[in-house]
Amino acid sequence: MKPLCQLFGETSRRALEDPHLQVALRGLDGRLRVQRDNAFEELPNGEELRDEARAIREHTLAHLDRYLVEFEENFTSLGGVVHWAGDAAAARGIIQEIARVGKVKRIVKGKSMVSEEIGLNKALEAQGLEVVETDLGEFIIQVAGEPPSHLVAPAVHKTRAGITELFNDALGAPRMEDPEALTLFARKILQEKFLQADMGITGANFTVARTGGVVLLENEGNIRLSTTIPRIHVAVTGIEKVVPTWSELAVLLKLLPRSATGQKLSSYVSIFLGPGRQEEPDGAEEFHLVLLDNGRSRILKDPALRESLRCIRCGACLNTCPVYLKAGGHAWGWVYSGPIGSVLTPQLLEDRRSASGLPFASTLCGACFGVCPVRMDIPRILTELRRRFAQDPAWGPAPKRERGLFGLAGFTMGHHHLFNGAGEAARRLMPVLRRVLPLMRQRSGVSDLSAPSFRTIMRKPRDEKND
Amino acid sequence: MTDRELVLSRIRKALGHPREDPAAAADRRAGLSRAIETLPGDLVKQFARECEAQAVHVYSAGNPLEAGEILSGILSRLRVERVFAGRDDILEEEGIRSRIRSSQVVDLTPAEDSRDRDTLFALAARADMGITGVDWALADTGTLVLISNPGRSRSASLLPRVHTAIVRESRILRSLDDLIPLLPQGSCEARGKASNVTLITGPSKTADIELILVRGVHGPAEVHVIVIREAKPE
Repeated sequence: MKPLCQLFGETSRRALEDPHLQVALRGLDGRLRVQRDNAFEELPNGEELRDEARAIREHTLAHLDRYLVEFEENFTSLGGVVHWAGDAAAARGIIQEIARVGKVKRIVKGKSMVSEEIGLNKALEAQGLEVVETDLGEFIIQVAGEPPSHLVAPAVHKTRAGITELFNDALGAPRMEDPEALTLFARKILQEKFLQADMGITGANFTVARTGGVVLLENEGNIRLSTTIPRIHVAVTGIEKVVPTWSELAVLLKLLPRSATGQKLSSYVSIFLGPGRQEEPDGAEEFHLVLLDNGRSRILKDPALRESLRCIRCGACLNTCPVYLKAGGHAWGWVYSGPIGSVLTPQLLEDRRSASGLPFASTLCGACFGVCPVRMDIPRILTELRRRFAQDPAWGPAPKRERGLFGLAGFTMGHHHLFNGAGEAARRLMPVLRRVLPLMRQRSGVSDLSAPSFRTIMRKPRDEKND
Repeated sequence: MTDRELVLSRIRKALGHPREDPAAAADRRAGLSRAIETLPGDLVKQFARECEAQAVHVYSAGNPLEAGEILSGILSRLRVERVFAGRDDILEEEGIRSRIRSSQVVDLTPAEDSRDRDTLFALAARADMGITGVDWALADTGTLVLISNPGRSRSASLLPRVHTAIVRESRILRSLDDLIPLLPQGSCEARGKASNVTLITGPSKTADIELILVRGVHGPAEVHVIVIREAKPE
């Protein structure tokens, strides 16, 4: 996927003008947020758990190398193979090689944002492999040839009418319009794919250092199928997903489903301790785990931004964000959208400048901070990213015109005679400005500057008294 | 430099310790308090309530014989023709396996010495109902805990449209926190033992189309749980 999020204004305007998308987003508006709030209300110690989750993530990140090495040791001793990948290309190469050596032809995939991040499907297809997304939402957008627009519900931007059209067009399905019928139609197609597949690719929600365990959460069962039927299981995940022991895992397991969908627990939590044993009837015979850096160690190095790595990808910040709920995920231009997309994309991309618009795609209202299960201070991070894009030469200077305008504005505001004079001049020139500047024409309602200024009004009675 | 060395050296540099993390392993839980929810009351009742909240059907049996009767009632009510049952210990209890046999259903469970995976999956996919025991159940979330073993295939609780699980009352734990100490604590303990622990909470479901709930997208659309209540020792 080509990152194109420098101008959030442009991409989001397209979203606002798309009536289908606006219908779909209205359906999302508030629902998941309410479910999340209800789930936390039932929890007697929800706030305490969030503190604890935050401490767990901070602790693990502070000792990340040790926990990763410990995980590697234990995962290996259980018969799995760990692969380290410095960047996306390395990760793609590793998985292509596993497929080649294993004589793989057909691949089924569980939903994995990391695999989207590294552009895995294209690379595997270029190798002549069949790659089928099996999460219903991912399947829909794969058929449509679109990227996901939400961390947890990737096809949330599509309406049932749109999906009916799509299935009719691409798969020859009868026109059904009914979510259940559409789902069962996809189930039938995908069950064949599962039974034929020789490799299953998934992400991993958590890896557990002490035991070498790999943990995956889902509601559909497609991840269980992808890890039960094919001979080879490849899990690809970021280096930051490790937890020390089961105890820390338990805390995060209580928070993740509640934050994501308001469930006490996802339908299926699968814990893998190495590949299927010889005497077990099913499960993968080979189990590979790809640990991806791809910019994460750079974030770790930055004390002001390190907390970005706490994220457990629940999507709660999307579901509550006023900007996301209007603009939809595609406006972010890359894999991660919503507030967490604005945090991660500029930091993960090699070319940070290409995502410089994202930290500004926020009202800084703080709703995301209010629901984050690991208490990431997203507004603070966004403000810091804004500052860097504006001032820090390492992040690329702001465009010349912007710097010039803000320099001028700063100077004017710093000298009160100049500021008052400029205000007075603007008020007098208002009728002309309104005709000349298109911006003024569009937003006339908020810019009626021809009225007397606040200072003038405040000064009057006193002036009159003094007279 | 391999990618392993590359990534590890980047992390160590980022954390400001160029070689290994100097902190002792003992600090892993430093500052982390345990938060445990205590929920009073009857575990079976709580378990049943949580299951029902997930649209799971719960039945109570006084002994294995009664469980067999309930099972055969479910089989005939749902007009089940083919079942896929593992070799769970609990199914060998008096009354249960024999009930399946006498219930006019075809048992598609492959023979014990069958090692052919494709056959196994094809059989499981053809079954109308999978029948399993469970290792544990969690009361506060209505969760079934299935640990893989040579007699129990993961497919039984996954491929058929209906999953029926038989749970002994004594296996019901309070919550996830009580399950933790029962899992292997390190890789040494886990080696040679089960490769998979699956926590099942309700039927398979999705809301990927307009956030409308649909059950049975890939896994079972229906889950039935028969709890065998046992006389408590003493």
